[in-house]
Amino acid sequence: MSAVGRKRVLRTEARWVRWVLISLAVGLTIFFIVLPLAAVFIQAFDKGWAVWQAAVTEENARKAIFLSLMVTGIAVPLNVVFGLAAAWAITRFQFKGRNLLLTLIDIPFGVSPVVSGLIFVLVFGAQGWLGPWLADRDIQIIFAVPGIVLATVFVTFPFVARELIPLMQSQGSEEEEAAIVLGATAWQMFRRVTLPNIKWGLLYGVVLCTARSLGEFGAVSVVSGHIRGLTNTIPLHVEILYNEYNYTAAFAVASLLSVVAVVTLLLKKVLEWKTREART
Amino acid sequence: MSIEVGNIRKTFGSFEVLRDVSLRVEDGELFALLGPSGSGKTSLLRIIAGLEYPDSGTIHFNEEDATKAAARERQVGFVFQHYALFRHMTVFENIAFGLRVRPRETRPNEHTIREKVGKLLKLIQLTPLGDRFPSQLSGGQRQRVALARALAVEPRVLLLDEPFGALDARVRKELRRWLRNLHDELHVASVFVTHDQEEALEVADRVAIMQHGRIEQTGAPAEVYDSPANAFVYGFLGDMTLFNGEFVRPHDIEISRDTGPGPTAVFATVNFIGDAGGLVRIEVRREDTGEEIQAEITRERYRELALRVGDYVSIAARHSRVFSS
Repeated sequence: MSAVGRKRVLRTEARWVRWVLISLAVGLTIFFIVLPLAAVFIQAFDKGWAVWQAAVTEENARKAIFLSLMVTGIAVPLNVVFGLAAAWAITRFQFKGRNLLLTLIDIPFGVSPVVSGLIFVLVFGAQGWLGPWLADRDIQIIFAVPGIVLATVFVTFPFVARELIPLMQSQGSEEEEAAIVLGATAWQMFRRVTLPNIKWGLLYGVVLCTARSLGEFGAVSVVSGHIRGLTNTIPLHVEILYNEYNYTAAFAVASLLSVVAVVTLLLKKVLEWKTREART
Repeated sequence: MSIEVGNIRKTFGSFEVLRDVSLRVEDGELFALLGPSGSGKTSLLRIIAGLEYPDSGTIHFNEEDATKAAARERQVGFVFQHYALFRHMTVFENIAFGLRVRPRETRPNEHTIREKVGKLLKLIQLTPLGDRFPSQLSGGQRQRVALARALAVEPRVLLLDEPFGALDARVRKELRRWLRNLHDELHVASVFVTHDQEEALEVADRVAIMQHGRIEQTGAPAEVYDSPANAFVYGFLGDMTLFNGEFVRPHDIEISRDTGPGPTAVFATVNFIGDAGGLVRIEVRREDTGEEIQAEITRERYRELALRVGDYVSIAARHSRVFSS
């Protein structure tokens, strides 16, 4: 059989296979992702703009939004620092336990968020290892804001590091060495050479980390104690409203998270493209 | 400024990269570290630069001990094999980098920086390309920018890692000559690493030939070529073939059609003829031992002999060498 003939046969076969696969993929995406997302917004505005606004600006909702933003404001910078340090150590040094560190960074991805939350209860809770010691000093971590921050930091730990490691690996350390030989201090090297080279990847990690911090439910749910106006984040607030059959309010607040998701998606696309550019 | 390397040893894990290496590069000298990959030449260059530290041994710049000095204090110019240009900076900013990161007291003002970078751009013949980014340059242009960037800080010594390794053959030869002229102009002690013997012998004032983390021989190009210290050096600096158990350069093998009997005559048949290039490559097989021998003859001689594959010839060696192993 000639090469041309074989190619034609292949293409005819691929056509219906391709058609089936594409419709399957598009159909599932619409059914599982686009429709539910649309439903959130339809439900949220079901009773009109005024009701939506009231649900979002009501005091407990405002406090939940504030708490989520605060937790994110703490968790993301911390994880930027951790992520940079981990990525630097892994890509720039050869040391014993390097692969172990690489594996450990991934643990939060592999562990169920509920388990992540329970870990902190086990360590810091009233019956936990450090519970009595903390109670003596009147420090509350579980069922309080510090616990929520800890759980969020833990769950979002891999995002920045995971994004930076492959990028920094592919870029290598020659430019940094060049900077040092040219007389740059470590800080000058980082500021003028490393950071500009990794900025898009770093930003991508920050976006993912932020989205997850705002949206984290499982781990936070375990450590928070669900105290209205005190330890409720946006997702926990949505759950409470839903359990109280206050559907419109639940979907109104949920629509905020959905907007975050859509914005994240757009930023993700832009940053992915920028990172790929930086890698070449 | 002279460079003195004394008894350097370096291991990576269980692998001995450098085993007791000593050498001296005089001020103003262009010195080549020549060897196959894995011979330790790049590690030695990086140790001189301070990018790597030796397990033992010393580095002196002009009798001043620099063994423990940090890379940024050594004031060396280093040209990386793949240039390592800052990809997010223009050519101009790349060259200016070393001046901009100086401590405030010694940092030149903007005007001086512009003037200096302008001069260097002119030196590397890239004046119109100052605003380009590295990704918009050809390999040869990148190489020159990397060199200008290293020179901007007025280094005490210049170190180049495989400076022409990533370039195509024509650009390579051009840049080679250009580097030699530039070096004569600047007269700063320079060390470059290469695995290309032709490059080392053509450009350098002196060459050190390395193998397995040791220096096998150091000397001027003619010296090492004419009196190689051992079989490795002999083989590395040029093609060689074995004849009667001795080492011979292919161009020292004589081929003739005189196949009359004689006490020392060796007879052979022509196996292969490669007649592209300045010299014609002939491969012959000895009648008595069956050994294959490589020879190179001039085009004139080739025409005179009118050789064809399968011809019966006699061969002899003009010069040969024996090395005690």
